[in-house]
Amino acid sequence: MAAYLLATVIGVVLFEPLQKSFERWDAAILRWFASWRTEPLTAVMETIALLTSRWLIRIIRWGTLATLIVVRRWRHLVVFIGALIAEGAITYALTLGIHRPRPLDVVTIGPWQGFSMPSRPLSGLAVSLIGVTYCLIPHGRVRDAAKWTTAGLLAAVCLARVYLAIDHPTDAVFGAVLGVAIGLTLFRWFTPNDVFPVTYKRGKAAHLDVGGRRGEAIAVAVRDQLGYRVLDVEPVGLAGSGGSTPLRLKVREEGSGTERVLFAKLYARSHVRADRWYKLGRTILYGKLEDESPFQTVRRFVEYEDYALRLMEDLDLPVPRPYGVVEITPEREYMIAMEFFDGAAEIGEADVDDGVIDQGLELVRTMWDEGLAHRDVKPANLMVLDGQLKLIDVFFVQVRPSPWRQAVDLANMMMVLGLRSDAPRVYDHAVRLFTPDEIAEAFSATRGVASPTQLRSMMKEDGRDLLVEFQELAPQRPPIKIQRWSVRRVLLTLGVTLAALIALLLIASNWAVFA
Amino acid sequence: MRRSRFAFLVATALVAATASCSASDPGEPICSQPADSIMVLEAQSVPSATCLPCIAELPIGWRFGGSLVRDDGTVIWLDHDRAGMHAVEVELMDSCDVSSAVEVPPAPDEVGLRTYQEPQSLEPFVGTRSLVFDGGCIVSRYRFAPDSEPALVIEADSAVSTLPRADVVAEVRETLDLIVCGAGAPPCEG
Repeated sequence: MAAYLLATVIGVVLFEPLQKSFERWDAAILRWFASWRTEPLTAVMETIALLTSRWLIRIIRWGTLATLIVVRRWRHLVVFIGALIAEGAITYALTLGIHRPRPLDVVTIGPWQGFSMPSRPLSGLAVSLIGVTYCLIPHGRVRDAAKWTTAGLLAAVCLARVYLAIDHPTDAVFGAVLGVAIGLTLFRWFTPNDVFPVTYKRGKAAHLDVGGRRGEAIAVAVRDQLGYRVLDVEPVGLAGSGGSTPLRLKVREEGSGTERVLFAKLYARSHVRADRWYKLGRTILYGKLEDESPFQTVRRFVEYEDYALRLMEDLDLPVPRPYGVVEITPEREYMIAMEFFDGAAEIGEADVDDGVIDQGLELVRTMWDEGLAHRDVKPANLMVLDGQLKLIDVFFVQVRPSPWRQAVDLANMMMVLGLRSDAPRVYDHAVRLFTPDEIAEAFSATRGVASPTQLRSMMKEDGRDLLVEFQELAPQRPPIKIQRWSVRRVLLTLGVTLAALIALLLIASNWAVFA
Repeated sequence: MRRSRFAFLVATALVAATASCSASDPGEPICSQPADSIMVLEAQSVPSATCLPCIAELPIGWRFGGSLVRDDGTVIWLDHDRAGMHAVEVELMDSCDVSSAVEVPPAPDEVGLRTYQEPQSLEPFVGTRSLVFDGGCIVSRYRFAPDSEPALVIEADSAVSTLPRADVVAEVRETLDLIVCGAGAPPCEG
């Protein structure tokens, strides 16, 4: 691509000295095409050339933008807008730089505007069609067909515009190639298919495709680094996971031949970026509620989770046994492997008896005593296996957290347990391990963002207002404010607002690209 | 990957820099430069027109605002530091309606053209001046900002002049040995 652009620069620089040759060569081709003009053929060519009409290009662009908004494919939307603006700016600058008139020696049929090289309508059509191909059509045979269709359409339009002498042959080809190159480059860089696949299946952007080359890489890495032969890889628990790709790995130990099932979480750079945005969003919305420092690399991500797992295992907390970190692609993709609780049910679907309630509360008590907070207590992270409660997903675990954070863990645990039983029963068990004042503090600290999204939505579905029920059972205490103001928060908010404003201004100043 | 992205950014900057690296605005039609591509483009916009509008010399305070050349005509506009943006808009068309205008004697550089004026307001100055010739006409529309002197119209008139299409056709014939199809040129293919 850089070579192509360099060739473009050389072409632009050499165009003026070589203009005479370009003009004569183009004029000879145009004369040849014009010698074939007949009324019916001209009518056909005029119809084909309508593909570069402003209205059609607008419909393609707005249709693509609207579809991307409906399917909430935001990254593709931003890249598509960027590609349109980049194409518009580059071709405009080039037409002014080259300032080539319309074809000479032949009569032009059809509408045109401004200098001719590169052909801006063709470039605009090309980048729009590439946008449709890379934003809306899933990778595979259909997309391949779309690429060929795009090439065919562009070739037909080039031919028609040359026949009608609206563009010189070199203008038309340059315009089409430039539009395709800008679109391809931006989509391949910023929405690579293996990280941001176009799919119409229900799912989260965080979940990576584990088939194809990535699947093969996972199998090789697990064999080389953990000593297990992968027999099967299957995504699992996607509904409750938003920050990684959870997997169930069926493996066979290389030496003994023992088969077992492992749970693994696959992390990529997209997850690091998502974590960064998530923490930035929280800082703007609530201030620095807790440690909002983002991770800088994928390696740090998995290193931290592996550490948290080992720490909690050392404390005899019921977490999965860690099997280690697997490097899939250095600095790009890593996987953390751990014990899979085969046969375990998510607490939201399991029987919750007094034993499970006690285990849940004891779990929080131990974390309090050991100076830990889980920070993501929700039904998807609590499993029940043969009456034993298990805690998974320790990625958010914090060492020496604030008392507020520990209080929130208690309230969230009580609400999860309450969902499968009732508030008075859970409260009765809780007062055996916590003082009423501690419980009151937990519920005065917990509301809104303090509870994970899954827990909030399950409580909404449940219908009972468990939070209020627990608050009524505990001693009265005024709510604890969760808004924290600081100079950093104000500056960040102003910075993000300014960036959004600049983006809007950029779109507004390039409105002609869309309308 | 990072290297190729860097190379892409450098190459893009080079393209933009190369493209915008021009001594004058390529959209400004200058009367003394009939071979300029903008003059050729203007001639192509109204093939029947035997005269083309161009900038003779800009008096102090005036600047070339921009131009829009399409297959159905050309528009050039001038800005002024007191009369405002788009103070004068000059349009080349294949025909125009001068039924409500008054014919006046042509200026020295307009000999052979029929000149019409239609003042609409003196303060601020708003009016139209049309030059009619074989195959087309040039309409100058004046719309000055409030509090600007109406006398600025004299400066504006001196800034805009006309160039015979034949000069552009001859220049292209001489330099490229190709035809700018239309009035004053041999028949073209198609």
